[in-house]
Amino acid sequence: MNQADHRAAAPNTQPYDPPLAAADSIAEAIRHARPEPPPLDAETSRRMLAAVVAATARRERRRRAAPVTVTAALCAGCLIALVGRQSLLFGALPGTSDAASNHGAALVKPAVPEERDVAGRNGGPRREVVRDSGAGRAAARVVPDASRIRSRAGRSIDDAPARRLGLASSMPSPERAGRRIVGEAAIAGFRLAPHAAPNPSGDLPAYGAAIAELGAAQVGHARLRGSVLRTGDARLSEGVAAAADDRGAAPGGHMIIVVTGAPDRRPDVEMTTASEVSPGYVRAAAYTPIGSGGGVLRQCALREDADEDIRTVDFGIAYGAPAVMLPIGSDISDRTSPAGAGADSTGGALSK
Amino acid sequence: MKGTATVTLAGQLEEPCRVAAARQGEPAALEWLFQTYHGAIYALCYRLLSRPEDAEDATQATFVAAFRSLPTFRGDSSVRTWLYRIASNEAMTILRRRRTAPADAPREELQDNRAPDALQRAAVSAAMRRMQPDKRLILALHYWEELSCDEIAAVLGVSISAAKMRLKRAREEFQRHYGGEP
Repeated sequence: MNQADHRAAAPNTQPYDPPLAAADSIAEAIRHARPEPPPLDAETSRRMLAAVVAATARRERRRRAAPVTVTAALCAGCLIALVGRQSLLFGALPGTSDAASNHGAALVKPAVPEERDVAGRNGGPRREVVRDSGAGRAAARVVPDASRIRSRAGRSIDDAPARRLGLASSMPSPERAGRRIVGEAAIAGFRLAPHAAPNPSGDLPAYGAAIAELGAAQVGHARLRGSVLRTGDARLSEGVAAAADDRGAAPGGHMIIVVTGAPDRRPDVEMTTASEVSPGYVRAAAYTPIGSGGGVLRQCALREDADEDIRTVDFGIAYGAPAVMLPIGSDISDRTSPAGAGADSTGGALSK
Repeated sequence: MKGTATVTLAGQLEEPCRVAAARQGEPAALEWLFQTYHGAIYALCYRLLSRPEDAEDATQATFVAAFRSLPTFRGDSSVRTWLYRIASNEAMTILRRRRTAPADAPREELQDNRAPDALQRAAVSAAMRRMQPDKRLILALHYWEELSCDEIAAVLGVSISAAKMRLKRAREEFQRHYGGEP
């Protein structure tokens, strides 16, 4: 039985085997296969136009408005995206190691000890304390010159992946984490303002402020005047607001934008918490895919003229992904619907 | 047929005036620009992305970017070409982001595909999906949107000879995926 007989015997079970054809018939085949889109109904077109016009009008209003200082609270992945490849950042969010490695950076974070039950030697349950060494693994993938980092930092060595790189990925407390941040920042040449030094008690707001300073130093390079703060915990948001207050930011003229991409974070909660601490500062929050918030800010920063305060904060597109802007107090429980819960995809909250 | 843009002769004559008004932010002119071209842009995005939702997103992003950039639009190319360029960039961004995800078959393909004609369309479509996004874009612009090499060059921002070379290479890649070595 030849191939044609096979096909006749079993119709529709073989993949389509197109004839080898000349260029003309190839062209004809492509033209003939032109996909026709489903019709765009009038309502969809109308909504699309309204969104486009509104986004344009908002941008124009903001362009004419007085400059505002932008403070943004970023998830670690976003901050890494902002800083770029081969950067070491310091954070605390679970799950950010992967975001770090996705952006080609290593994230060193304090481990959050986690207890879990495992099978004991005699078959009974045994409680084991687990430390997250994901940061070490992420670092192992992306930091090629770890020996140099080790010699400069002189860190202690806590676990095997980190040991191979000379990085410590486990830190027992926010206090130690904060100290390490300051130490690393000093090694890297960052100057930290006095208030950014971690509180000896190791509280998280101070920790947030330390990170804020790091972020500000990094972003200053991108001509974004203001600070980029990293958060991820409600108490870190307090640090964000406090840092803004320390700088003499005026309510209404200073904008804190909370950007988070971590799936277990609630930008509305973050923002509301921060706004309660410092009313008038927090103006908006954005939910973006992990790592894209930094892209948003970078776009903002690089698009503006040098030596000018940020006049425009456009969160419409982050790395091509829509950033959902939420008015304060929004409920974002339904994240599958960017248009839902009072959010829109064009930065509506910023027009307030 | 050039896309689905409804540009009549009268429309072509008044286009420069409308574009000038749009550059000044005149709402009616902006609306005219959107109404005139959004169908064609949506069709291009759909042909590149295969998903109506993605096509809608890309279309909206295209016009947001276009309206934002209008003040700097010098008019070196036609508005249509300029919009195609922005839309192509938006669609490419989505395609690259989707790189690791399996490509979807267009919904029309998932329907009855036993007819010979439908089989050929499905084979072409499958070959297109297997192509690199930038080469797929060129074939789509040339064969589906019926852009000339000059226009493709303007959309891609390359020389005409470079556009011709890219078209040739895209055709060769398509043929490899479609039926064999060229």
